[in-house]
Amino acid sequence: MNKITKNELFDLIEKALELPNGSINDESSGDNMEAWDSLGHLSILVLLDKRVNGKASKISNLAVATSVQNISKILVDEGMM
Amino acid sequence: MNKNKYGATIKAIEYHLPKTFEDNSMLSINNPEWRMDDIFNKTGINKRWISNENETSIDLAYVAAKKVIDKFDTEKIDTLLYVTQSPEYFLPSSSCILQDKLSLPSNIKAFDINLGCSGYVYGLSMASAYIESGLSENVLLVCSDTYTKYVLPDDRTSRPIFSDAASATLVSKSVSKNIGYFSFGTDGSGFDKLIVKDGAAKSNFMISNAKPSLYMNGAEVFMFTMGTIPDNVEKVLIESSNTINDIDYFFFHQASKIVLENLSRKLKLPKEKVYSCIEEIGNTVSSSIPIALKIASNSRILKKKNKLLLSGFGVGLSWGSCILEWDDLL
Repeated sequence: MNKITKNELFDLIEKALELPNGSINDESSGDNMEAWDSLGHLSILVLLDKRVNGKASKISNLAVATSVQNISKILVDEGMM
Repeated sequence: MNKNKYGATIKAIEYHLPKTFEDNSMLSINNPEWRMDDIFNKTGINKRWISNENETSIDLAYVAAKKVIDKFDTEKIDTLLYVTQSPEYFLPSSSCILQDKLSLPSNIKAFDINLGCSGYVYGLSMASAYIESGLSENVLLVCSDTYTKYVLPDDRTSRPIFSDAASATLVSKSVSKNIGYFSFGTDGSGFDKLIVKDGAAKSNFMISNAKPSLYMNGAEVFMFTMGTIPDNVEKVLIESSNTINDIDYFFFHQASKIVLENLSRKLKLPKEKVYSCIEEIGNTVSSSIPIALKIASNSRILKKKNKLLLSGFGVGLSWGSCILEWDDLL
């Protein structure tokens, strides 16, 4: 599996939340984006799991990682980014 | 009766839904800020069945169970298992009240099983174990819940999902062993991911709202399901020397569309093998699998000797899967 890049993560979150390109940046989170609600977060988790060949669903912390920074940190820690 | 001489089989399934339902258009009138299209895309649920104010899980259970015992000699039922998380009282067990209401014989074994979405598979395991051990011959397994009474009107996570319902399954002695293998699991570290916190001993029997209310962390329950259930399904397949190709249909707990789709994706299941009736029924907790089985049977989708895999998972966190060979129903 190729490691996921930061730009790929941005694209993935934009796709999950059905947002235009360039909407997501390092500061984006569920606290400052209306579309990133609990339903939106489920979409992010599904796309992320597909991208990393099903390995994301074994990382329970991702369920509560509702910001780009938190997701990135977990992916780096897990060697996926 | 000689021990281990007999197996167990499902002889009858019936279910009952309350009269009142709420569809997504009604939900959107009360909650205009909710994006109903997005909610429907995730849940796959359009209709939820709502018990009325004075209607309890036992009332629903009585109707479902009566449909079964009307087809069968009541005196022959020797065990009543009642799966619920919506009891009428802290004590006594709801099963005792149901035994009396149904006029079941007093020499019956009756007890409650406090489990939610995994409860049906656990109940089947207990029913078949009782029968195979020689302790029972006909077990009435009743599942009933009224979760909607716990759900707050503005709870966007739970309200679009949960439905009230009851089911009754007659499990009987058989020359063939049609129920099992089983595989179970429990992870109590996730007890607070799906919980009714108030009203019992931990809150000194006090409630902070007008009534005890349900809390569900949808993302955490989803990740538990995706991280745990595929392994459990694979385990029961391996232990029973089956492959996905050997299974005619998969009956997962009808949690939501996103759960069913992603379990199918992770297990690489053909779409046509994964049964769903969630759109018109909703998530009925422990009754979701037996209701799905009954609807599939009524639709003539299920045929005698079909090999099925059932898997229930949720509150606890608790899960269980089993292999079931389908038999003709009464």
